[in-house]
Amino acid sequence: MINFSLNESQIMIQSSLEKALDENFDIRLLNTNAEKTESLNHGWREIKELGYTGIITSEDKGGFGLDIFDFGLTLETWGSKLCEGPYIENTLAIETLQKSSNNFDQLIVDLSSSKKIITSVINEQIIEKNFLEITKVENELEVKGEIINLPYFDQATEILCLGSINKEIKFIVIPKKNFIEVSSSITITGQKLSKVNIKCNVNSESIIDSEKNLLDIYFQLFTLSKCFESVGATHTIIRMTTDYIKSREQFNQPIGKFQAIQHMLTDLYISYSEIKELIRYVAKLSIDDNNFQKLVSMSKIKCDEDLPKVGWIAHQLHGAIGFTWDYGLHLLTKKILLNKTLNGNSFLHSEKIIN
Amino acid sequence: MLSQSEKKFKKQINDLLDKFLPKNWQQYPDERIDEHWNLSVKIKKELAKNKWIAPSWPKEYGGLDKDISNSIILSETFAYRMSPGNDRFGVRMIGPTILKHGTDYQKEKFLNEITSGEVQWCQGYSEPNSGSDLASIVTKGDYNEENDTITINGIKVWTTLGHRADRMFILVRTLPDSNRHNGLSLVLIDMKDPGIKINPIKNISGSSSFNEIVLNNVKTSSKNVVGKLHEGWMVALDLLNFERSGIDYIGWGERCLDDIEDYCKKNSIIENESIISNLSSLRASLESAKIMTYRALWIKTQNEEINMEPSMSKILATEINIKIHDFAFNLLSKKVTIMDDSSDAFYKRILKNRLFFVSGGILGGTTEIQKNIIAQRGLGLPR
Repeated sequence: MINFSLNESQIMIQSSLEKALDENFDIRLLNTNAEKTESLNHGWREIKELGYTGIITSEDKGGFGLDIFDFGLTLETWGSKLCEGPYIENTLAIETLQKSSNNFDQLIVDLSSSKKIITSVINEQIIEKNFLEITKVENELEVKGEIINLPYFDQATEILCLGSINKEIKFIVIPKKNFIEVSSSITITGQKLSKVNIKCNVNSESIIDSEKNLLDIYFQLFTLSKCFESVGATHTIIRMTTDYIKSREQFNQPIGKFQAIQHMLTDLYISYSEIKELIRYVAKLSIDDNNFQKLVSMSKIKCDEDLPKVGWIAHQLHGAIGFTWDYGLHLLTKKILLNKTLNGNSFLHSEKIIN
Repeated sequence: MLSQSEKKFKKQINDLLDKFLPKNWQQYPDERIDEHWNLSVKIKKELAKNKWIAPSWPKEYGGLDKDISNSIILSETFAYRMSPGNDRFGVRMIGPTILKHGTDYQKEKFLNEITSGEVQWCQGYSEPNSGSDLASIVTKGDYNEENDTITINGIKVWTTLGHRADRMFILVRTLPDSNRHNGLSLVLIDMKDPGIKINPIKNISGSSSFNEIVLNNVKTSSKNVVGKLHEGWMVALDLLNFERSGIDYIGWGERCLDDIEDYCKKNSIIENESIISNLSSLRASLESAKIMTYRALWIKTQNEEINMEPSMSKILATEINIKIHDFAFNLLSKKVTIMDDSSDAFYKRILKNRLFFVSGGILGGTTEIQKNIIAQRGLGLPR
């Protein structure tokens, strides 16, 4: 029932990524780029170099053969360094392809080795009920429709999307070249989101079939992944705030000596710790566990309710410096706020818990 | 995430409680009341027969050498069922402390007594002028080297179950003229000593579960000192870490939340958006607090240095339990203020328990003290 320790390989995976990312992590540099509204793809190169694109890919296809919990640990680090890139989208596409009853072996190998890159906006398609229209035309499939808020379109070679075929919603993998970017927008974190159109015929084997309910599994895993990312960002908020109140002196002493300040920081740390332990616990469960869906929704609700508060209070603890653009704390708060807007609101998840 | 054997153990505990608890039992366990105490005695005897009082203790001391998860299941199930008979002071406080710091004599004698289910312990820490500042205690323990006896004089307060207890673990100042953390000893005494006078104190919920204990020339041998004489401060702190986890509050909170959810279903208000939103938010916080208490209890078994985990889990568990009861109070409104027989036991229990749970953020170290511990010992902020 109980084991909260990390094994040696998990510690190594997390520390290797941390080390690789630390070399280039400078929140002030990220800040400068955010001002220019450039999407940096910070961290994505390191993920590819370490081979983590294949973190959950089975070993016979050249991956690490690890599980969602291990992936989650890397996402904590990924989030803590404010990384940008299609790491979650690419990994969960591989997870989906691995569960398919048809053969996507070559694509899995290519995605795992980052020869190809896949992106998607599956959960928003589910929530908005915005599915591509798929029609069988002889031996091919005619696909048409529009996808909005698609991240990482520039980096991707393939797009994983949802389409409706004979009133059934299916995953389908389509090469990016078949899409046309109609417009784009930039999020509060500087991330580019594309609006893309498609009208073309694709191979009928592009559809992912499975005996499992892949849609639900994907929805839950993506939601949980974003929770890991937000918890990672929160970790950096706590670290920056702790360092600041230990070193910032007022009234001839570090402000961290005042009990009022200590208790505020403690509240932040408790919030961070309980959510971190909750999502780690959930990620250790099997996706077939009866409580998995409910616990993912609980994780999402906890992240949405508590982590933005951590951000706001951290700004308060920093005083005026935390209100400045140059200090960079705002990037972390914005990441958490952006993630809060993804994967459904609290009411959607409340219903999943109570019903 | 319970294994098959853990599920089986949980069922066995529930079956045992079904056998002893009256139907529709839903009173906070208050062992000052004779009915509760008699139940407690019977249940502990039955637990002892199966060696379930402290399942994670070594077999030689009446345990089963089981994983800590069995102890967690036991505590959580007892709290959920609101059953008397869950021995906090023996099993969860002095027992693990003796296991870690005690002599062979103490282990052999006191641990086996605890797992027999026949001996009740109480705690002697707080004093009238020493609450959060525990290091300021003044109760004296004069050590006489010639006859190897410690003579204790002073007053202890807020002593839960003092009136039922056979033994007390007490923190006393054994080194004359010492101050603060120095010169203290953790000593085990017999509550039948003629020098002990017990005065009940009534709490805001109307019951008297705790007491003032006046000690007048109470005698004990130095072989009943846990750890070294005059060096009891760290032992006493270790005991507090064993005390804190909040697992009972998780069980009580979960029971209240389940009952309130049932109430919403029966009264067809479960579809209300605000109710769904509140229930799910409480459920999520309860679940994360539960995992934190599991973690705090697990860490204690890992021989790792414990600094802030029990403090964090205690804060979370006591606070979510209060939030759940506050939600129930808001929802049920006037119904919970009627205390006579015309009111349903469920309604009556909400306000009474809510009043009682004011103590959660105070006993075992206030929430503010826990935050000091987290800030200074955990996060390294300056003192």
